[in-house]
Amino acid sequence: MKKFLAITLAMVLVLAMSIVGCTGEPVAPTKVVLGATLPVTGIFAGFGEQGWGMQKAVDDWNDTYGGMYLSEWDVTVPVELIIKDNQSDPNQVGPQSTDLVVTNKVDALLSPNAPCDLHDPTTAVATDNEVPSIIGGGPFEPWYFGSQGEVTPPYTWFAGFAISFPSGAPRNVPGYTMVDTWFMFMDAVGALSNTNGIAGVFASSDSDGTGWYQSFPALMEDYGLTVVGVNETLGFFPLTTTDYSSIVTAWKDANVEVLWGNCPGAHFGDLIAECYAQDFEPKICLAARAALFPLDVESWGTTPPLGYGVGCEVWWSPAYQVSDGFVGIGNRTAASLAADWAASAGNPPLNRGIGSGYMETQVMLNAIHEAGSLDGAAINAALADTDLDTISGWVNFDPVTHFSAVPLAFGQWFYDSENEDEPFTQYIVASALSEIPEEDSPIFPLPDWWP
Amino acid sequence: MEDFLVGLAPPLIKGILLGGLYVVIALGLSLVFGVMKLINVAHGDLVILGSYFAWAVMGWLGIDPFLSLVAGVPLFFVLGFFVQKFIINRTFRISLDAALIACFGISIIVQNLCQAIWTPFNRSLLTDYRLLTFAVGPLTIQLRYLLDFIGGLAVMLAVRGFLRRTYLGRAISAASQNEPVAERMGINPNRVYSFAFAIAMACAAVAGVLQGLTFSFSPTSGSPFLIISFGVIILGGLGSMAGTFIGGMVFGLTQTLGAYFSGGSLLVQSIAPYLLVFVILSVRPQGIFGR
Amino acid sequence: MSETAVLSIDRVSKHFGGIVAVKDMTFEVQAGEVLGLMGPNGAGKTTLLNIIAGTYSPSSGRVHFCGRDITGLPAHKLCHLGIARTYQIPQPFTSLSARQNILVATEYGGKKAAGMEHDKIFDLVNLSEQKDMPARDLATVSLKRLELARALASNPTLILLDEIAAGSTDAELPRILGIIEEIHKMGKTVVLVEHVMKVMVEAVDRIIVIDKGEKIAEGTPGEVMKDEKVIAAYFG
Repeated sequence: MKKFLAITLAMVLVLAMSIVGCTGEPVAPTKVVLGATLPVTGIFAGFGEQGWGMQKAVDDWNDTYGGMYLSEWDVTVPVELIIKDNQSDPNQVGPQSTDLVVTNKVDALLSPNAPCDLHDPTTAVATDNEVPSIIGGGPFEPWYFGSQGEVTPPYTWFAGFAISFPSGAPRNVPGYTMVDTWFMFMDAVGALSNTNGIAGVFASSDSDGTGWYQSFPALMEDYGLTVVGVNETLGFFPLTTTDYSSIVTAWKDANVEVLWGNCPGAHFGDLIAECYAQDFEPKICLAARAALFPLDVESWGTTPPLGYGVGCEVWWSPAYQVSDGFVGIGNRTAASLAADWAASAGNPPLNRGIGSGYMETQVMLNAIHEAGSLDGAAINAALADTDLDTISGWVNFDPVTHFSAVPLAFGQWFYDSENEDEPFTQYIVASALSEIPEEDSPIFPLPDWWP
Repeated sequence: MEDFLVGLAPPLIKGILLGGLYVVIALGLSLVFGVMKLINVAHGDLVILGSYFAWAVMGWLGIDPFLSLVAGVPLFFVLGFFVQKFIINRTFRISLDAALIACFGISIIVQNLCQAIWTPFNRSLLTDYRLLTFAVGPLTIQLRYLLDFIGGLAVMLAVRGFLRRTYLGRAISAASQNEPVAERMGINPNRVYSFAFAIAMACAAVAGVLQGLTFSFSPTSGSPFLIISFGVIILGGLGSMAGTFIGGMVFGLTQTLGAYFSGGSLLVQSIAPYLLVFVILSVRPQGIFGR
Repeated sequence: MSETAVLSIDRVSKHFGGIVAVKDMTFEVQAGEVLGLMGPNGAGKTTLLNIIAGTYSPSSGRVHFCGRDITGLPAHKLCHLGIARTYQIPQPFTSLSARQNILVATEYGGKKAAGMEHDKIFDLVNLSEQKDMPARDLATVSLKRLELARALASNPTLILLDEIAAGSTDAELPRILGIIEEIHKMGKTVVLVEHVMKVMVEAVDRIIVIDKGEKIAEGTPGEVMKDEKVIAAYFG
């Protein structure tokens, strides 16, 4: 009997508390929390450095405005950013995103510019929980046509570049897709006239590489190149591969002069070392993903400098600016962001991902400010209305696809034997847009590895 | 026919030389399993730790990776001895499963330690001679792969000679074959375990240098080598050093020849050895050289 | 416990779950003595041997060796103290040669004092011609001899022999008796578990008969063979 009474009493108490909780005056928020799951460690750690850019945007916002003003409550509260390390493991991205929403109660999710399986699960979590989210990078198509089944996820917005998806006016001009920037480079060096036009392709068997292998060889054929061995999936390799001698031999035998592919930096390092060892040097070497980050390029070595002349797309430039000069939050410019990065701990070489990270955070903070509320639907509506000059270009989303294209350029790695700390620097050698100036003329053919 | 043979020579040579690297990596795993029936899942990570050690010494002091082994091998030996003595031997009192879990723990700790100290980014042992090649008749031999083979052969012979000819080695052999009887003969099994793990770690130090000269590495790149080592040991037969050596050659050859006969397919290259492992397991479960 | 006892078993019992393998066993073995342990199958002889050799620790009771309490010490320590045993089913280190098998025993077990030279051991057990063969290639009879050789190589004070004559032909028995005699002459103490009566009767000084884990008789071979309890245990 006593037990029954105790249980009844407890149930009544819980019920009473929950009723009070529901009907009581809502309490004003004390902070705004953004969350991101990033590959801070593991093979995609280069992408994880975007977290620095995200944090910088949050810091800039807090420093400039003293926090986030929420008109719904007439309060200004600090903005916080929670970053979880998914260790480059796609299987951790979904659970971590859920954890951010459920445990950390984040008000919005930020997804990195990274291989798509490192941001796609976050999109699903955003949809299920009606939490606004943004992806700041590219390419757009694997996300849009891939896991989402061509139904635009209602709570996720994509600010970045596409493989070839038209951006819509006024951006339906070269400079916003991978295809036009890469082929702009091919045009610039006269790839069809100055080489024999025979191309070898390589890609890792993860989602990013597979998507590349399925689409790019055909585009290259359309452009006029002869691609070797696509029907036999020559050059398509599992991530456990370390020895590439067979494909290098095959390319050499086929007299390949253009080498083009997409894989993690570590794998490309072993691949290009094998090219060197077999005395096979193409005239053009383009490595999507592999050549994005300076530490990867450095790891390929300087004796000889195997990264010299390797090209890939460039997401962001410290030179990016519009007329008034200020494109970041407060007085932030692209140049000052790059300078702060260079002065940060360990004086790291430029990682262009910091621009992407800053840009998407900037867009999200702007939307929360416009919404004046932490209500997911309200922020989502504000994201839809975004019209903002950011550190990485103008962002306003297409209402159907949720896509906003930002400028993209093409760069090659230059080698300076005198500079021992940072022997490799990536310079933009092809750009269609005046906001991102070209910094040097293209390297063609690849510099002699054997001086 | 002559063209065929000329075409076949490079993958044949490459497979054999590459096999040497697999041998060095697999030896430590084979030894530990042979003596204490423990699958040391941290072995791949310990090899990568060896690569990082050489990389760090090269960066700080400018010492050649092979020269750094003068310090690296004893250091890893001692480290292995104490890891076994103070961690794994204690878990054996609970069960073999507990020891396996301890190895998982070591794997995670080593990976994270490498991340914390050396960042998650890729490294290679960038020596001047790393990518040298030389011609032998019509064939081109890559120095790093030749070093792998020489290293594999040397370490195999050293371990084999040690097991056969030394006081301690015979105790390790005896304990790996019949532990109760070995103990009856006065051999303290825990001591033997500690030395076996120490030797496995010393092998990992050498394997780390060879792997770092041949391929790039990052804190998480040890796991594929653990899987390859399993394959090598299954092919060669457990507990036999010569078998592990042949297993490594067979593994390397299956990779390169698989790629060659499939027109350069790296998918075939990565799958072919494991298909062979399946065949061997069904036809000769004790391995090519197992008894 | 008498001064000259090499081995003293004091009220030793061993249970495996609910099964009593050895029950309240007490006896001593004097220095230089050859003691026989006899009993029907499952009587507890091998369990007793395993307790003395440190493979099992007793459930209760104490075991003393040369005046020292060795109850529960691990096998490798007992080996160092001077207890060796052979196995009924030979357990060689198969990949090592006969000589290397013996080397292991000498190196790890024989740390006390200089023991017999290996060649002498091989001569004694008649294995000289096969000493460089891998153990896996030896015939069963040779492996039995290798067991014995390996036990001797660790230079024991007390040697436990588990059915060394089992499976031998009548023609081989004199040889085995000769070996035991040699060991005896070296001054070593021997505990022998044996089914072959001829060996038992001719080689040992004293016999202890065990049935269902308990000692049922003790005495010289002649005395024991006449004991009614022994006849009952063996012949029903």
